[in-house]
Amino acid sequence: MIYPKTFVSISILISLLLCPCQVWSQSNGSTSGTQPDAERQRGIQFEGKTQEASPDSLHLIHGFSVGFDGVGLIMYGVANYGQIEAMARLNLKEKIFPTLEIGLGHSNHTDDATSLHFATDAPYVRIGCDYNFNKDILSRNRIFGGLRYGYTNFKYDIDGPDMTDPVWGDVAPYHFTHLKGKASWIELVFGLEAKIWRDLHIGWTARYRRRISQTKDDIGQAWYIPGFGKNDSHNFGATFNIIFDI
Amino acid sequence: MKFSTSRHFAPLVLLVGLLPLLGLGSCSSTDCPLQNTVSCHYSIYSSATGSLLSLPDSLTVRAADTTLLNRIHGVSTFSLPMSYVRPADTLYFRFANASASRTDTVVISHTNTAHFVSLDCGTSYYHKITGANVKAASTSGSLCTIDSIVVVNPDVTYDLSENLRLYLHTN
Repeated sequence: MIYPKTFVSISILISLLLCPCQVWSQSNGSTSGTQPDAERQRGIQFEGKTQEASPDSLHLIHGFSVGFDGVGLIMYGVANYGQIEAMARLNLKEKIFPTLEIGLGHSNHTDDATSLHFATDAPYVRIGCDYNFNKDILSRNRIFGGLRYGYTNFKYDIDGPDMTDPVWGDVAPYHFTHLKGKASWIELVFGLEAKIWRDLHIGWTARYRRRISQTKDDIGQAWYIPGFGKNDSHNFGATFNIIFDI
Repeated sequence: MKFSTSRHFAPLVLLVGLLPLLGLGSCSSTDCPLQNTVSCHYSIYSSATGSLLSLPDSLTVRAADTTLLNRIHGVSTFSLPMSYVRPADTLYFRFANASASRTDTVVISHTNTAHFVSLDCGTSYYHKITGANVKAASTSGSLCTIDSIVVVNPDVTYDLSENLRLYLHTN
């Protein structure tokens, strides 16, 4: 199956490429004076001790971010199913992050064993909020916990080999197009986000998704729900985000 | 020990980035139904007493050129397939004992709907029974014959619940 293999390969590659960048960024940050160094505290301190920032010292709207899911973008092009996803969020006192995620889910998959084919291309939206658990808000590294509500209204096609009736001998076609579906779900989100360079951040999120409603066609439920993933009562997912603070 | 997020953040991000190795990239289970045969389930009742009845004679059921049941005897329930695309199925119920036989004709009208569970599972057609008629042979003689048919549950799916009741007239 292409998707897990490709995803693992991409994840390892990106992680290995970006880790040195993060280390370099943090080593630069430690010499810039924003973080008190343990060795510097032994001698005479000519600089005033950096004031520990608190959310109260920040403006309510501390910033705005936009970003996209890098892995989803690659998956959309090379795998049987994936998504293009962009996100925008408000930064409220570096603690609370109301978030909007909009994407285009895509599936064009044929099962090797059954020769059944499923196809869809449809938009989805998620809205929710993250909370930053990192107390060191000056570092601009973030540890997120959050919640999302997702919704999609989509059409899908199902194709399969014709069925031959073993008793009466008739041939029953199995080709259905423009089937209609809707789905909504909630997501529990855990994420880490690190500042890489200036306003550029990277981050991962791991997500537990729970479907709360779906409308399906008479034939049956969709195999893949845009924005949710493979259709089930629940599933797990992950994103790799590239984010720009504005 | 105080946790320094600035020092440990890169390893943490890396760690989470490797979660797909544990299968968390995008995983879900597949629930293909264990019972994946669509059949119409019949029960046999006595028209005289209204109670469940064991077949007193042997029963053979045919449709088109296919024998669906062959000389079953002493049972109270059985299952028969339905055609995928036809609006009605004509079934021939042949009751027989050692000395005689008789054939009743049953016509089951139904609608057909393709059913899809998952790409990993097989395909099938579901049915909804819209009518059931019987053309019984003469009730004379010692063999049983179909008196009437009652639709209990019109939805023929993977479900194993009773769909039709055959009321038999027995001598």
